[in-house]
Amino acid sequence: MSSILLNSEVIIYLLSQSLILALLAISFIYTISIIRKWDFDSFDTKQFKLEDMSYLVSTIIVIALVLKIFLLFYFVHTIDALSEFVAGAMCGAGVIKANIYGNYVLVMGIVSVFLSLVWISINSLDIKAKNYPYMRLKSYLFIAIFLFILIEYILSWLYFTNINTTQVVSCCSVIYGKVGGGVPFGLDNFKLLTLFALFFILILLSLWLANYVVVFISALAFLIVSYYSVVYFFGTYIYELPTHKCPFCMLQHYYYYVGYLVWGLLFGGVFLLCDSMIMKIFFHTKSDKSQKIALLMIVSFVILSIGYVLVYYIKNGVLL
Amino acid sequence: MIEISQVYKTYNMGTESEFEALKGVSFTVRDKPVILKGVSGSGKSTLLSLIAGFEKPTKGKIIVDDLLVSKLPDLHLSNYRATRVGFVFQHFNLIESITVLDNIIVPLIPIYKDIEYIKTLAYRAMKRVGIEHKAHQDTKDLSGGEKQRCAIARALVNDASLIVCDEPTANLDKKNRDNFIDIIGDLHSEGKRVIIATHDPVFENLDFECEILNIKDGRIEE
Repeated sequence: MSSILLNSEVIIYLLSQSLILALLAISFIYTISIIRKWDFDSFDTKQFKLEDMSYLVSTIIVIALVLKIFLLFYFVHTIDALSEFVAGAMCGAGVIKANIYGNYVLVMGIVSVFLSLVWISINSLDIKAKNYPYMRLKSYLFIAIFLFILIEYILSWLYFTNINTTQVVSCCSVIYGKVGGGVPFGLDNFKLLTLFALFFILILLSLWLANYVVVFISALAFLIVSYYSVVYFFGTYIYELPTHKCPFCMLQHYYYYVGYLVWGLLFGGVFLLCDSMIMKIFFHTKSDKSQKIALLMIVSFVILSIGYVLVYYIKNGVLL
Repeated sequence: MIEISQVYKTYNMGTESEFEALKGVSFTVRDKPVILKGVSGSGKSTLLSLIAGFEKPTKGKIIVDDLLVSKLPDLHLSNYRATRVGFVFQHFNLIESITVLDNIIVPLIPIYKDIEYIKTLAYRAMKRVGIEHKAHQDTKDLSGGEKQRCAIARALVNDASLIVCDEPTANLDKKNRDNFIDIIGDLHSEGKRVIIATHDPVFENLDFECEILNIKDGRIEE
């Protein structure tokens, strides 16, 4: 057994993950019976029981998925905390690459947050209606999400049980520095920042023109470009060091845990915006509430990122 | 129109104490007040609680106007109870430790935000049943008839289109019974639908036309 499994953060993470999976597994069993027997036009006892049960099951799923969203932050915290025990790791970057499963767990965790948001939004529409119009749709979507989370759960066990604390891993300067290849797609910082600005303006413009498909696509493109912009440009101003390029170090107390805010605003804002666009495109919802919150988060992310550059320039009179 | 079709209600289903309170009740109410008559345990109160949306049937269809009440999800059922139903309970179900005004305000709190508007509606309802002079008195100090008027005011305060009364005259003297019947007559003439569950003979000779349904062992008797 890997000694990593004795780490308190890992124990808490895996136990929480197991608890959430147990809640989702119970819901999964009931969801299967809802899909098989649901007939809203029926007035018999079985259908009344299903309607009562569906409300309870939906509530359990919402609670489990919201917990799962928070658990992603805890996973990031856990891998950062493990950097003390894994040889060669200075932050989560090294720990996540300690074996082949790490990146898959992280990416699947991020995707499951997005899927959870979409499910919660569809469920919200369903319970606001008088005739459960999206019961089947949300049930099928939940089954897909459950299977996805189940795979993520198995991978997270494989990941933590296969971390070898004596094997030296690469640190972030190797992974994201010149040795690791630098900015991808043959871009340099100028081109990266141009794309960052362009996609941000495109989001604002397409929102103003109410072209929701373009908003969705540009938001996803903005997410990718922003990730690299933070790692290769804005992050260097957080660290105040031109050679320090890492998405994980900013999660540490040396940088006042600002990474949680940076990544939370970026991923939260983009996912909420995409979710809101899906609701508008496919379900013709009128409410702009989540869209406004998403926009506020994205704008806050942009201001925060640029703010670090400006503060550095004001303090030092030069750019990195 | 209120349509009740093949409604069953079973309590403690699948247990040793399983009890079938309603066994396939069907009837349609148009505009006349309905008097549900029957002995204790016949299923009157159960039927009222299903119509008022306090509970859901085990099976069957309940339609109140355009609403399929028996199928409403909880969120909508709460809204239905808050905006469309006024309920007068046998034991009034008032909060004894607060004033008459506060008791009447309670159902409006989830609906409106403006407290002055809420108070205006509450005073209107109190005036209607002649209890406005007791507005600031603690409910525990009221007489039986006053408590009942307070309960009626609370049932009327949301301008409900359906007034449901469960044994409303069981704890009243003759004078207060007559007052209650006058109020019911007024509500009917205003176009509100009234359903009363009772075994009080005073409802057998009313001045206005009403539909009397006898309920026995969970079934409507022809």
